[in-house]
Amino acid sequence: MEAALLRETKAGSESGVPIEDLVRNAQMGDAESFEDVYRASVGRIYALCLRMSGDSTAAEELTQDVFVRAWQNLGSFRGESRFTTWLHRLAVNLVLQDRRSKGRRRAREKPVADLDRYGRHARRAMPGTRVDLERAIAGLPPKARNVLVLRDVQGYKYEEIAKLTGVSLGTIKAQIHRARALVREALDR
Amino acid sequence: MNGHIDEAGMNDYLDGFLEPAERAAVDKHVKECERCAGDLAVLSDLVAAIGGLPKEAEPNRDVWPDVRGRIATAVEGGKTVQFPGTPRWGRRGITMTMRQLAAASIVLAFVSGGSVWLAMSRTPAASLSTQPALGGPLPMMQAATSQYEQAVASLEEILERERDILGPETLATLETSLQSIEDAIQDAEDALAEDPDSDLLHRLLINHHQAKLRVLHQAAAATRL
Repeated sequence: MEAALLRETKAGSESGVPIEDLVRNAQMGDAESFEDVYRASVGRIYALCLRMSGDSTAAEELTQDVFVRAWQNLGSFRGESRFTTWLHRLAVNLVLQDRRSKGRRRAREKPVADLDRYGRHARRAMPGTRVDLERAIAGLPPKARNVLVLRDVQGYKYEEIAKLTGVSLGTIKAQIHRARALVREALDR
Repeated sequence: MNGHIDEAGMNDYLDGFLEPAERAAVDKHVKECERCAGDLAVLSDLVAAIGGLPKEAEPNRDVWPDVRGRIATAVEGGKTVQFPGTPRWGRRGITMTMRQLAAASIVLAFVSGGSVWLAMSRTPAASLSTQPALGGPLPMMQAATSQYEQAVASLEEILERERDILGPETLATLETSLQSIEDAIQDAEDALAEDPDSDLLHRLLINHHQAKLRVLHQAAAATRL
């Protein structure tokens, strides 16, 4: 997780200013620096929201929520972890919280209503991606999709996922095994 | 190892959950079992493929204007959303002399006296009077409130202008203190809306305002050291 984020952070912001410096400026109320932080991070945050929600509109709303919440909570970022790690964790928490707040009704719904539409969006949003794999992941039940994205796409450790979701390690393992099996089945079809 | 490797075993193998001896057993088995070797390779390729998916995606549209708009709306909306990264004092400052700082201290003392006036005005005897006497507690408190607000605004402007003089830790402590006080003020105001005749809540509110003025005054004075 850290290694993946570090590689991405090395690229820095579009303005060429290290993201940690931008964050410090933003903490002092500099909105322009915060926009640079947004520009440097939005791709990763949107990709996470998109895969976890399986819906482009919901992902845009969640992305907005993440950055509004980040701005609100900038004061609590003390630099103990990398900013990108902090922001990513905030996004994961927000997406999981959003799912919980939607309640059981939504949880029973089909995960992604229109996989063709999702596939087209994935192709456009992530050129070069394996659309068949994106569709297979989007087609997973929500809980299985969330843990698979966190583990296999984002590289979170099992223990971290258990902590983030409030679910036991054994259950997380079982969910990930099942999710991988379902993805494999979907690809074989 | 007896029989084939089950799915959980393959996943545990790939995820590094197996003990060295168990891992060695799996390695030995897949060398001899074509079926398990094939299944493990498929699962391994799948996990690698998922891990290789792009980590970034481009939204259909730029959502920054919405983010910016929501931040601005929340700021204008008042206190319900807090922005620790945003200075709560204005950006354009006016020059305040030491004499003005001293005046702010006097206001502080004045407001402090006002709490006594208010407490007196809320005694059962005072509450019998439907109209406060001219020059009595109410006008006194209104004047104090007005001066209090002016003093707070002036001190906040000084702090905004001179914030670089204060160290980051001091600034962080200051913001935390002010935030706590403002939260307490908000709580007291909310409670007063429910129970407008509560002497205790009135006194509490005044105490919180005094505390805010005191903190601002000390911080502004620190920039002059």
